[in-house]
Amino acid sequence: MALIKDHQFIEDRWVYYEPDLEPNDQIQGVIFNLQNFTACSHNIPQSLQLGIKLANHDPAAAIQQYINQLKLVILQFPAFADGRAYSQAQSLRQFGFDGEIRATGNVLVDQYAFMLQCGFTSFEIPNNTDLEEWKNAARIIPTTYSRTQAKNYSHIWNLRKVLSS
Amino acid sequence: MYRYDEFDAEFVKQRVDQFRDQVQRRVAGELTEDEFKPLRLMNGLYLQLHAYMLRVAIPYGTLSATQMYKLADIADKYDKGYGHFTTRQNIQFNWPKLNDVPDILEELASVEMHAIQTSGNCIRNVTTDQWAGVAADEIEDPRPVCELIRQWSTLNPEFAYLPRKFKIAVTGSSNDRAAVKAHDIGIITHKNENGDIGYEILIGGGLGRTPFIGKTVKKFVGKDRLLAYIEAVMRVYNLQGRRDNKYKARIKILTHETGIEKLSEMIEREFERIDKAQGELELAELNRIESYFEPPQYSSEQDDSTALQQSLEANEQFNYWYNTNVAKHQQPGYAIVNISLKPIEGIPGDATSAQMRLVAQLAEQFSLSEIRVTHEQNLVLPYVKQADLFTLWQQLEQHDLGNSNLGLITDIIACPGLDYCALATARSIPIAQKISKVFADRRKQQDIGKLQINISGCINACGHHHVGNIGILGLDKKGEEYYQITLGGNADENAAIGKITGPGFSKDEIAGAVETVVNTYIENRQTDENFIQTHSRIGDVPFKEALYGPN
Ligand code: SF4
Repeated sequence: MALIKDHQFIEDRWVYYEPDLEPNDQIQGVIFNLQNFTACSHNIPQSLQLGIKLANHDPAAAIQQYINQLKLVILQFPAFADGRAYSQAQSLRQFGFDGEIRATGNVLVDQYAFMLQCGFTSFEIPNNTDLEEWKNAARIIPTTYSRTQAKNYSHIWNLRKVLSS
Repeated sequence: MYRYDEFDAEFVKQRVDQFRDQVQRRVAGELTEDEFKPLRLMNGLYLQLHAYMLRVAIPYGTLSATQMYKLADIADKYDKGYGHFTTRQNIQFNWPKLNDVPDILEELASVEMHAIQTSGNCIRNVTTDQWAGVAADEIEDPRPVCELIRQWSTLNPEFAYLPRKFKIAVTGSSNDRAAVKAHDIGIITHKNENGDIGYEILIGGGLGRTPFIGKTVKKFVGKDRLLAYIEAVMRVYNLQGRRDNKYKARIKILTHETGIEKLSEMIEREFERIDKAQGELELAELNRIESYFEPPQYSSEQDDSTALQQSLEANEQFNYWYNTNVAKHQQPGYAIVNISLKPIEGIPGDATSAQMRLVAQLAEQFSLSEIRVTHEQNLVLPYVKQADLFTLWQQLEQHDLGNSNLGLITDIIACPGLDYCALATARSIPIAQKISKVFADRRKQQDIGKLQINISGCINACGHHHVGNIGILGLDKKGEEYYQITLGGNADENAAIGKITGPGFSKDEIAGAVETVVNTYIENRQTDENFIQTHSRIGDVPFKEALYGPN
């Protein structure tokens, strides 16, 4: 799998937590799950960033108290039609989380714009993906009537307000 | 009525372009049917028994004459010259070709229409009272709220992949003509002691295999917090609704399994988290939308003019139609005209392109160019001067649209059933036709009075049989179609789920069984009692005895 951000491939420098993890320059941060985060995150050297991978049934509110310590939250799409992660992402942004939200699982180009609007910023997709398609998918409908977390989508009600004032 | 501004128009156009690209990829073989399916479903395109079916949204059942002309053109150009109005105030075309669908959508966009979210596990077309804005008993015109919800829910990224489809209905009157208690979310408009308007929210209503009547989860939410509350309900449902079994995935099951108290606490917690500042933007938008629904410039007319009285006395048939199909208007001298799409032995909800054009033309001539579609699969002209009623009726009569049966036993609601639907276990249309033949006599119909029959061709209950006064459910027993009867269902403010009478009837017996039920009512009724009143007074037993003999 490859990782993209802003429709560009980027290097993934996060690793999953293991008890005998050896930090090195290549590692940006460590990913925990909800259970081992509270127990083990303090064992990690200060130089490393902290991330959490939430299960679909984990409430976003469970990590609200750690939001200032976290730089990455990974949310999962077990199937593209399972939309729980959209709500989890919206909740995290609502709590003020401003780090990376990464989509993993059945992440497809046809849902890309929805994910961006819900606050996802990075995406695990197959290596050989044509990124032109993703770029187009992100821009084909650049406006929305609903809450959007991505700055390059304009809320139509805001546009109207600006026009009328 | 609402008109698109440049943003709405551009948005829908971009959506058509996106779908055109998806269809091209499908036709070129770049997408498999499995990959294409979720994409086409987001645009109302189903694969049915014989062909594709395209379901077009008619937001809250309001149509302009221009839009109706366009639907007629589409019926001629891309279909077999007719369309089918559904119980969700939409229209379906049963024979479009896949290649043509992007063009159809483009033609629809040219008259401010689309097929977005008419299928799929997302928020569907919002429905309301077909008499919205003109009903004499209305607290508020519910259409601005519907339009607000329509926009907010259109391609709402968070709620595009819910556990299951999600239906919202709004009533602006305490007499519920929108069956709000049979919806995932039902919204009832209230005015409080201070004269402020707000909304009662019900959740968990729904029919299908396990029918439930919706329960109140919030008694009163103000205009600036309505969307926030709906958003809270949706988020809790999206996260907590069951995804392991599609038959248990609707919010009614979540409500039933969690309990309304606990669920309402969860929703309340979510609601409190939602930014209150957002309400200002929503209120500004609601105000903007409301300006489109200002009452029209009525001319000053008198109720019950002598001309109308004379026509009523002179023409018995007109008189009869007037009494069944015309409803009271807010404005003196005006009337609400209901056009029944239920001719005797016809197909409930079907309209030919010629009929659509006629209705469009009549709307231009007599009803400020506006038409409504009802969840009972009929049409409405909402702004007719009483003085024009006789002329209007004569034209309807000439085109087979003067059926005087609104709300009567032959005004049957039926789903497409096995004649079209891939999921059906039995036919519904021929049963509706048989029953309507049995009760064709209009004196007999009038004598029977208000009685709603609903027919579904399988347990998915698209014909809403659970809430029919007499409900009929088509099933399959070893390759034979047979039909179960339920009695006592009701879709209005006294919503109730009907109860099964007992063993089913064959397709040849069912019309006779309905006649037996009706005769039992007639024998037992007291003065001025309609069917449902008699049934609730005497209960199921006399009906069962008549159907199956004394136990
Ligand atoms: S009730 Fe069944 S047969 Fe009728 S339209 Fe729905 S799915 Fe098809």
